[in-house]
Amino acid sequence: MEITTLPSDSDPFAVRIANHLQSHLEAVGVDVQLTPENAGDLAQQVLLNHDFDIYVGQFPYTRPPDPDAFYPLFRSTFDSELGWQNPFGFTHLTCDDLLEAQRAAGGEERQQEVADLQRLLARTQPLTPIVAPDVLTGVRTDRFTGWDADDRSPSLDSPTHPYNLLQLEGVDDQPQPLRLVVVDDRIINNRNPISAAYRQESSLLDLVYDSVAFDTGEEYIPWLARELSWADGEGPPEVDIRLREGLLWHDGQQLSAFDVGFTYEFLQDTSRGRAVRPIPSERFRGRVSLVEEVIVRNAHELTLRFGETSQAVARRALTVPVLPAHIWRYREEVERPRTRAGRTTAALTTSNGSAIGSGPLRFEEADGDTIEFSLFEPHFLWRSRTPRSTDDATTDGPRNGSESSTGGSGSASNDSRSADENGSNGGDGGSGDADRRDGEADGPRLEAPEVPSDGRFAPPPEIYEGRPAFDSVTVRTVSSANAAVALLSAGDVDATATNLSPEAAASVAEESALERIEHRSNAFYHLGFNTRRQPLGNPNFRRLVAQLVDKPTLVEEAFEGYGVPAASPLAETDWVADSLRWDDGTDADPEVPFLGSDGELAVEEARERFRSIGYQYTEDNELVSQIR
Amino acid sequence: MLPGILLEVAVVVVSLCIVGAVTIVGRTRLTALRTELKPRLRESGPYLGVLIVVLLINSLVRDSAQAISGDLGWNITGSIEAIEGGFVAAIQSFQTDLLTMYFSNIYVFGYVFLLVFPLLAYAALSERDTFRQVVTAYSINYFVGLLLYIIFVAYGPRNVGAAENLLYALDSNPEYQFLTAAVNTATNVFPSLHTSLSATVAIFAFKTRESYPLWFGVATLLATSVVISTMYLGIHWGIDVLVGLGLAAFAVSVATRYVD
Repeated sequence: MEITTLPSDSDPFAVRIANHLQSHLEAVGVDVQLTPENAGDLAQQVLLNHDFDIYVGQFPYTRPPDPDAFYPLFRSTFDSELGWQNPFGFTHLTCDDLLEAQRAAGGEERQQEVADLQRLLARTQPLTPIVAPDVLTGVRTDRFTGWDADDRSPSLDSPTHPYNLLQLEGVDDQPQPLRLVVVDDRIINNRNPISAAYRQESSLLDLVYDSVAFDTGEEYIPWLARELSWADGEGPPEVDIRLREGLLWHDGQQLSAFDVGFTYEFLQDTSRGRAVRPIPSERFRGRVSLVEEVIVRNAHELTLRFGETSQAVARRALTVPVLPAHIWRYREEVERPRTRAGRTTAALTTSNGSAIGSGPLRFEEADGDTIEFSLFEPHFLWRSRTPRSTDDATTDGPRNGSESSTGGSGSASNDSRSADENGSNGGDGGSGDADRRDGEADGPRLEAPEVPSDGRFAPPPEIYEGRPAFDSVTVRTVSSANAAVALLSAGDVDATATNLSPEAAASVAEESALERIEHRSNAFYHLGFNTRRQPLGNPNFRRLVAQLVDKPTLVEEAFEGYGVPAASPLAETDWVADSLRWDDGTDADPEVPFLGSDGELAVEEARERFRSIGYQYTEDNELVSQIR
Repeated sequence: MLPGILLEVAVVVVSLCIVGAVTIVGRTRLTALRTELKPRLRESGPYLGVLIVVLLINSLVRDSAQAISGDLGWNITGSIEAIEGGFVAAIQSFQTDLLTMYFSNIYVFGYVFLLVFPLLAYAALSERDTFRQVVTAYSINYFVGLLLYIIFVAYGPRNVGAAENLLYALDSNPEYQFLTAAVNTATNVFPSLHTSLSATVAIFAFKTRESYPLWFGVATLLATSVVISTMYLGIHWGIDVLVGLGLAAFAVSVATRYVD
């Protein structure tokens, strides 16, 4: 049997868990090999190729998710799909029923369904939650302050969570480049927001691609939407989305409701009908599966109709990244690469190098080990409220490129356009050539956005309004967490955006301009089992493997106290089932307690348990299903 | 950070080469070399050319070779660990601060000196063959090494928790990894080129012990230290070292058979 995980350079903790499991499996007579794979290869083997036995990894949600996040993860019908769509190959009909039921139910009833679901998952162990880590981040405070997310509301996990960066404060009045360092180098070569092998939550691409709404953890705030109105009454939920006016893509094209509608249909089937069976996106699959029908009313308005679900669940669909139709609709070609367990499309295999989105950050260039983003000047977070004003063109004029206006002619056309607009109901005159201006050499050609009928743009979400303290973001990739800390100490970067081991983090706090920030991550470490393979298809066997893991000891030794043991995948959310809360008194897993005490595996007892579920031991104490 | 460490290595290695030139090569040969260097290099030009081409290929295709290796390469980390078990951990059990410092310096500075100095010393010999053979042997080492790195994917013991990571230990030398990261990637540990090249130098030092008796002693000591350091620091497996030694023997025998 093989345990696959990240090498210590990439993740200091996963290997320690893998070592622990390996030695205990060997003690009970199971021959195990530990195979380290880099982040991209690991994701490919587990998520795209389903070629693994057991992996040790982190849960894909760094923030506590809504329980509906489990829908694609454990639903049997997603077994053959790629990405975080049931990579375990878990097929359990009761589980399917519960996943459906929690979607449809509301209030206390839903709580009950979710608790039942957790108990079922704990009993059958398609994945074994181990530790929710307290992640350490090293930051410099001599250029930017306000890193600690716990000091503000909403608090979005790590200090380097993309949206938290928007709320940093500058030490100088002048905006400075913000410099981050990561160990994971995937963003250098691939900027595809819907690829499971290259993306996970909280990537900087979250700021390159906007979504209709943004989940702060406390509420869903309209983002690209100016207004969201949910239909009252019985029956499945339905939402009318009215977009902000004057939205632009990074290449200067206008973002319209057609793009939004396209996105939902495209993520549901990236082959756009070319394949016999839809080939959905590798990411956001659960969210787009909520949407039954997309009705684009006009360039600003569309309606989403949902299936049998509640509004609380349906709104999750509003957080998928909106893609530019004029780029992605040409990526519908069906492919069948050797490295994937099923068919896929160009949309999922493309590296999406130019990363044209509509978000606050615009991709500039990637070079060797560094990638750079600039602020997207026309973004709604910091553009002027009134599109007609020309006096503020130098700082935040909505329709100017990354530098100041080109002067006389630009202002003149602005004026004439505004006048036009007032008379003619904000029509489609926005693409007139007269309104175009040439940006810098590689700057975008921006079309002037059309103006709302009342002459004012809708205000941006209050908490993120205004220009951030930085004018560009540079991410440097290094080969290990220690190297990241070395760069931080040397003053070459402002923050580490990677899992630091406590040893590496220890050296962070020794200088005055350095600070170490700790936050509890929902991305718990876990074992994932490939239940397509024997003996891992046997829930009794999985339960015993889970019982070989001494979670409290791992917290103390592998994590050096930076974490808490977990018995449910919802342990760090408000949804955790009462019976699966970690009991600090016994310090044992309520469902799959460790077979041993004081960190020592009770080998004989463990072997007896394996015998009791139908396995046997050879003369050499090797575990076999049957002695030949 | 990288330019700083490169400069440091350059300064140390050049200083060591100067000391070595005076003590090992000797004044007579150095004086002769002053006039002889150009013609000798020109005559050995093709051999040097091959080495430069191999090194260029190595650095040019490294990223794409890495990608091919990631897709097609055979990840043998688990098998290596299954075969040799706790061998590297046993070596690390002799750990002391002094040894860690010694082996870290050997791994970074001693190794570069060990490879560079023979080029100088053998260029100063009146016979041409040894210089050409050494250069050829280097080329073979690098070329075969690159091929094996493409075919086999393996992480070193420090990356799978089978050994501690001593070279990069923060309290000592975090900056060294910018150097090693610039030269190689973490999945290229099988075989150990540190071992094969050091052993290559040591074998030639043995062959030329009559001309350079002192160098034979120095090279043997340094090469042995480099070989041990690769394991002591948790970078290589014992098997990487064994295969590295085999590669050295192969490279030297091919070079001496076909170059004369």
